[in-house]
Parts: sequence; structure tokens; C-alpha cells
Amino acid sequence: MIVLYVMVAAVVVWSAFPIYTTVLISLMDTREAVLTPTHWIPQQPTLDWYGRILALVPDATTGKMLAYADAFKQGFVNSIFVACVVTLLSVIVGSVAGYAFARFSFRRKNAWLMSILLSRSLPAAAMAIPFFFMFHQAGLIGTYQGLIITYLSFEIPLATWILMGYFANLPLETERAGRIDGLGRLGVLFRVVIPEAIGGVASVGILLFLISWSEFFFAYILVTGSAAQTVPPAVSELTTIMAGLSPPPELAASLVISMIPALVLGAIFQKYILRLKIVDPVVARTGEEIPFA
Amino acid sequence: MTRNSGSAKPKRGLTDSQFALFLIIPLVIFQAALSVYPGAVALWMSLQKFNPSGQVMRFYGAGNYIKAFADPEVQASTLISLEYTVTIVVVTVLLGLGVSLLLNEQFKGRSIIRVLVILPWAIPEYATALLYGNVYSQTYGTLNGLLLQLGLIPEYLPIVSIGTIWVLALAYAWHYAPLAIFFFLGSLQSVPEHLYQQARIDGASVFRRFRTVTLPYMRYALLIILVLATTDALKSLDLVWNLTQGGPNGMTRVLTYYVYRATFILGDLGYGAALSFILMLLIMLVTAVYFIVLTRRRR
Repeated sequence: MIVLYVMVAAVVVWSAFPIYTTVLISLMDTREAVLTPTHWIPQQPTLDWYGRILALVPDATTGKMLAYADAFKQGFVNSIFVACVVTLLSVIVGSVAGYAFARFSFRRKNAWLMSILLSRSLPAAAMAIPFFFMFHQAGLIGTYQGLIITYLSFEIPLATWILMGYFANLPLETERAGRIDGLGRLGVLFRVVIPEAIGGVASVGILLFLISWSEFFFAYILVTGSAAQTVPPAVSELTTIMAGLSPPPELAASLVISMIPALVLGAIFQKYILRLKIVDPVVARTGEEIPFA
Repeated sequence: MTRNSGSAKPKRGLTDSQFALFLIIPLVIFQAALSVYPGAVALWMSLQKFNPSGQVMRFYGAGNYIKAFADPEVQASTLISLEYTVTIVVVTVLLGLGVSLLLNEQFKGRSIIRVLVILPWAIPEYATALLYGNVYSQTYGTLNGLLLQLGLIPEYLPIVSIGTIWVLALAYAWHYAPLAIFFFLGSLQSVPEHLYQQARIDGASVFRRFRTVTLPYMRYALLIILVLATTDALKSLDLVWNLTQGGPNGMTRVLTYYVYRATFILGDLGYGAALSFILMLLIMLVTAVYFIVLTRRRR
């Protein structure tokens, strides 16, 4: 039993250590943050850095800080906007298409499935090249549309794939009952299946939102420094470019703030991810038990 | 052929197949415009020679591909990518199995611990890199601080310079493992309880029980995780870019980093496009191998 709790403690330390490190630094003043060896509890904790980033505390000495706070806040707004649009569109297209794949057979179905899986083997670096080239010609660099289009290219197939698996595991009886009650096939989808699967649809939505929120590379290539800049390039620029100009605790504070939405969504998502149930499809279909190996 | 009116109630003549095809129209449009078309553009680009300001100079045929196979930096990058990927997959699977077994047990505070465990995965990859920047730092890093206070090292060390791609892989595995943990946990919870009792009655030891009862139910999740971990590790760029920008003296230049470097730093878009296709083929090859090897012995 003790062994169990020791292992749990090890897991806690492993998971929390990097996060604690940065939170710790963000609460110390510059002098204490770079002391060696590390002070594990700040002796003179301060929330000043957070105040400066959130533009709650005006910085009289460097007007520059205030300017960054603006960009940081705008980054949040942009990230939320892009993530919402992409998530909404992906869930709509994904659930309709996912239902088609889950419940029907049709010509070249396998070919379409292959093409969806193929989208997953494309590195961001790969797709960034043609998109960058095309958007450069079309003047879409530094715009919301460009970024949204790019995200849709891989989030729609992902949504379709996950929802297909989820719909396939739903019991057929409810859909049959809907048909008997006189609903058409579309009616069954929108009035029976989707309400029944709302938990799964919601978790896919959260996942897609997280992906859009966290995406760095396309955002860096397409919208850095523009009005449509999202959080990842903003925070990354702060740390890598302004590292010489900004003290570590300030960078740490901005990093912590940028992580909060992801952490909150992750905490919510944790409950749902088990419901997505990665079950052996043979078991799911036949309900039989896997015999002893 | 019956006309499709697009109303909520299907016309009598629309078969199930036709209905399904109707449903996937939005997907088809998006796929065609956002995957197929850019893919074709990328292919076209890989066959051209670009000059550093992004203009197409001339048709180059397979020139970029030939250049890639002879390029020593491609060979070096591929090796680094393999080291990166193998480390990530091994650590991810081991952590996934171990921690999922742990989280399957009953203990106080389990639900809070589960929330804590998923956090590394919820944190964006680029943020993971920045977090580990503070952990690995040679001047004020907490890992150095911890090791020093434990008496394991005499002074602060340049962790990234010493550990290069391996410590980067560890950071990525930290971020990625929760996915494996939760997928495996789901599988563990699908094992019928009475099978364990039967095995216990038959006198099977803990290890035997795990091998004969538990493992078969985890096979599918294991396959999924292997495929996902390998492909995501091969595609990973955010971490390397934000933590080392290719590392001290190019020691952490993975293949995706070279794709980025060739395209955006060296300005040879055609070469970058060709490299990205080579990488894509590598990923598809690995995925195919997994599927063949792991789905062969099916009942």
C-alpha cells in the first residue's frame, strides 16, 4: 500500500515539476529568480509581473511593456476567435460526414477513409509550404482567413475520424426507433443521434479547440507580428526574441497566463476522454470477451 | 435517378448509399480544396527550382529529390529524428502502461490525481518547450537546482548541450504520455472483472494474470498509441523550434526542422517541399509496418 502511494507521489512530482518551475519563477523578483541553488518557495513573492502583462499595473519606466500587454491581450482575442470558428465548422462537417461513414456503405468509401487518414500523416512543416505559397499569392498572409483555412484542413478530417468511431459504437436501436416513429434519415441524425452523442461531440469540440489554441507553427509562419497574431507566436516571440530585453519572471508570467485556458479545458476534458473508449472494434461489435491469450 | 431536393425528409427514391454520399459533400469540398489542392501545389513546387526570394526559376524534375538522397544533412537529420522518435515512443508506452495501471487502482484523491496527470498533455507543445527552458536552463534551471541540492552534480550543467536530442525527447514524452495513460486506462476498465477472478481461482500469479487477462484487451489501444506516438513524434517541430532552434551546433536538427530550415531560412521552397514529401512517405511507411505487424495475429 505504501508502495502505491510512493508511486503516486512520483507521478505527481513528474507531472507537476515543469509547471511548478515556471509558476515559481513568475512569482519571484528578478534577483531571486536567477539565484542558485533554487529557492523552492519564493521568499519575497510578487504578483507584479502578472500586473504588468495584464496591463493592470502601469509601467512608468518602459512604455514598451504597455505596448506588449496590448499585443498579448489581442493575441488572446484572436486565438479564441480562430479556435471557435474552426471548432464549430469542424464539428458540423465532421459529425455529418462521420455519421455517413459510421452507418452507411457507399461507393469508394474506403478511398475516402484512406484520404482522411492520409491527412494525419502530413507534418505541419509540409503543409505550411504550399499554404504559405498560395496565401502569399492571394495576399492572405497575416489574416484570420488564412489561419482558419489552414486549421480546417487538418481539423475537419480529424473530427470526422473520431466522430465516426464514436457514432459506430452507439446502439442501433435508438436510431431504428426514430425511423419507426416516422423520422427521415436526416431527422434521425439531428434529432436522435446527435443529442444522444452530445457528450462525445462535446469532447471532440474541446479537443479541436485545444488543438487550434495550441497550434504554433502555422500561426508563426502566417500571422506573426500581424493584427491577427494568436497566442502561441506571441508568447514564443516574447521568450525567444525579447529574451534579452525581458526578465525571466516576466516571460514566465506570460507563459503561465497563456497556459491557463489549456489547463482548464484539459481538466474538463479528462472526464470525457475515458468515455471516448478506445475499445477493440471486434469486441464492440460482437460483445464477446477476448479469450485468454 | 431521382432528383435530390435537399429537404429534411428524403425523397422516396434516394437510396441509403446516395444519402450517405450527399452527407459527405461538405467533407469532400473541404478535402478537395484544403488537402488535395495544396498537396498538388506542394508536389508541383517540389519539382521546381526556386531562388531564395521565393520565385520559381525553372522546372527541375526530380532534381530536388536526387539532391535530398545525397545530402549529408538529410542523413544526419534522419538519424536524429529516429533517436528522437524511438525515445519518445518507448518512454510514452512505458509511462502509459505503468501509470494507467496505477490509476486503475483505488486510492484516496484518485480523481484529483487524474486531473493532474492529464495537464502535461493539455499544455501546448510550444509551451512545453518554454517550460523546459526554465527546467533545463544552465543559469537558473530547476533541474540543475534539484540535482545540486541532492549532491548529484558539483555545479550547474548545460543540460541541453550534454543531453541534446535525448533530453528534448524526454520533454516531448512528458507532454505526450498522458494520451497513452488515458487510452490504456480506458482499455483496462473494459476488462470484465470475472476474468480476473477466474484466473485467480486457477492460481495464476500477478504477472500471469496481467499477461493472459489484461494484455489482450490492451492490444488495440497499444496499436493506436504506437501509431499516434510515432507519427506525432516524427512530425513534431514546435518543441525543437522553441527549445533549441535546432540545437547547439545543429545537434537537435530533426528532419522536420530541416524542412523548415530549407524552406524558410535557406529559401529553397522546392527543396523543402521535396523533403516534406520524403518525410511524409517515411511516416506512411512506418504506419503501414505497424499495422501489418500488429494486426497479423488476429482471431
